[in-house]
Formats: sequence, structure tokens, C-alpha cells
Amino acid sequence: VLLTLSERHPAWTHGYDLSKVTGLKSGTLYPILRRLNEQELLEARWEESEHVGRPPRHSYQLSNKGLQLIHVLNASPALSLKGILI
Amino acid sequence: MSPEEWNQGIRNEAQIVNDIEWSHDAQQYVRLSEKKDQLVTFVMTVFAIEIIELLSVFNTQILIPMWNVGVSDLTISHIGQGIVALFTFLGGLWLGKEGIRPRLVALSILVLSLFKEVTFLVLQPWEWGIPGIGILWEGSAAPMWLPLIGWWLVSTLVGFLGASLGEKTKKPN
Repeated sequence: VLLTLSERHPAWTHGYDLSKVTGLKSGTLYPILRRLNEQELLEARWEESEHVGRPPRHSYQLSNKGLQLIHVLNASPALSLKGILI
Repeated sequence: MSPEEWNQGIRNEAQIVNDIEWSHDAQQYVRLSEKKDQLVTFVMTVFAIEIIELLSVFNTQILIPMWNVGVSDLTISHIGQGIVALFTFLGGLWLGKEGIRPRLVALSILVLSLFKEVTFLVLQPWEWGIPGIGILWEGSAAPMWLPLIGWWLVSTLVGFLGASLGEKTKKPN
């Protein structure tokens, strides 16, 4: 999830797109997103729909703290592996 | 972002996308997530109410001896109930400010009171396990019920009012 979001940064991504790209079901993806948001690694915002009558959507983007974490993980393969294993 | 906003966001996403299977899966997850959130909030609220009640009883035990100069037992009992009611109100106010729904606060007070009363009723005969005590129990239980139910209702109402006021003064997320 972090890698996908970092690849797309600074664009905002919808939950459905993330789910399709990562192959994660909503029951797995959304708890991850909530946790990342609680840890201030992810920014979440409401996005008004361009189509009339459609409800607003959530979109997500890595925060600066999240980007820093990605840089740290990229710089240290051991940490990356630990992160994956955990 | 609050849990309600997260759930609303997922529900909206499920409504917007043209993927029936994904939508169904996401809606199912939201329903489960809401039930889990409600359960966790309920347990936390019951726990908070119990702490508040214990604090109020503790304060009553400290304060009443200070005032206990020539006052009747009934007055002391009323003062004690007043302190408990004040703590319940303040507790409700705090819980409401924290985003707990007033009806959940009221339900927690009722459930907790009922649980304590049932536990008391179940345990009492064992504590009184001596011959002839059944008559005493039957004699004292009936008149106690009415004021108890009245007290539960007052307590619940006070907690509900506190939480409603707290909800109104809650800071937006």
C-alpha cells in the first residue's frame, strides 16, 4: 500500500483503485489505510464528485511523514524486509 | 477522520464504483466494522461509567462524614445520591464531548445498573445462607424495587442530559 501510494504521489488515490492495484480486499485495505492515517503517514480527504447526485469520495495521499518513511525503507533493505515480515 | 467518516467514505466508494462484487464486499466490511466499533464504544462507555460511579461513591464516603452532624440517615442518603447524580452528569458531559452518543451513555448506565442488581440478587441468598433468612429477603426486597427503578431512571436521564450537552459542545473533528 505504501509503495503504491508513493509511486502515485503527489496524486490522490481512491480506495477502489488502491484495492485493484494492490489486490487487497476492502476488509484488509481499509484497516491498513485507517492505521496509516492514525500514524499520520497518510492524508485522507473528501472529494466532491464531478457527477451530479453522486456522493463525495475519499481519496488518499502519503503525507510528508509517510514519504520520509518510504525514503528510509528504500535506503535500508534490511528495514524494508523487516517491514514486510511484520 | 472519525470512524463514522471512514465508514461513510467506504460506503460512498461502494456506491460509486461499477464493480458489484467489490461493492458487496466493501458494504459487508462496513457493516462488520460498524458493529465492532459500536461494541468497543459500548464496552468502553460501560467501563467509564463504572469508574465514574466508583469515584462518586468514593467521594460520598469521604464527604458525608464531614457533614454528618445532626442530620438524618435519609438526608445523608439524599446527599449521597446527589453526589452520584452530579458525577453521572459530569461523566455524561465528558463522554458526550468525546463523541459518545447520549443514548449509548443512557443504555450503558441502565445495563450496568441492571447487571449490578442482578448480581446482587443472585449473590445475596448465598451471603444470607442461614435458615429463616428467606422471609427477611422477601420482606425487604419488595419495597426496595420501586425506589431503585426510580433511581435508575433518574441516573439514566441525568447521564443522557449530560451527554447531550457534551455532544452540543463537542469540537468538530
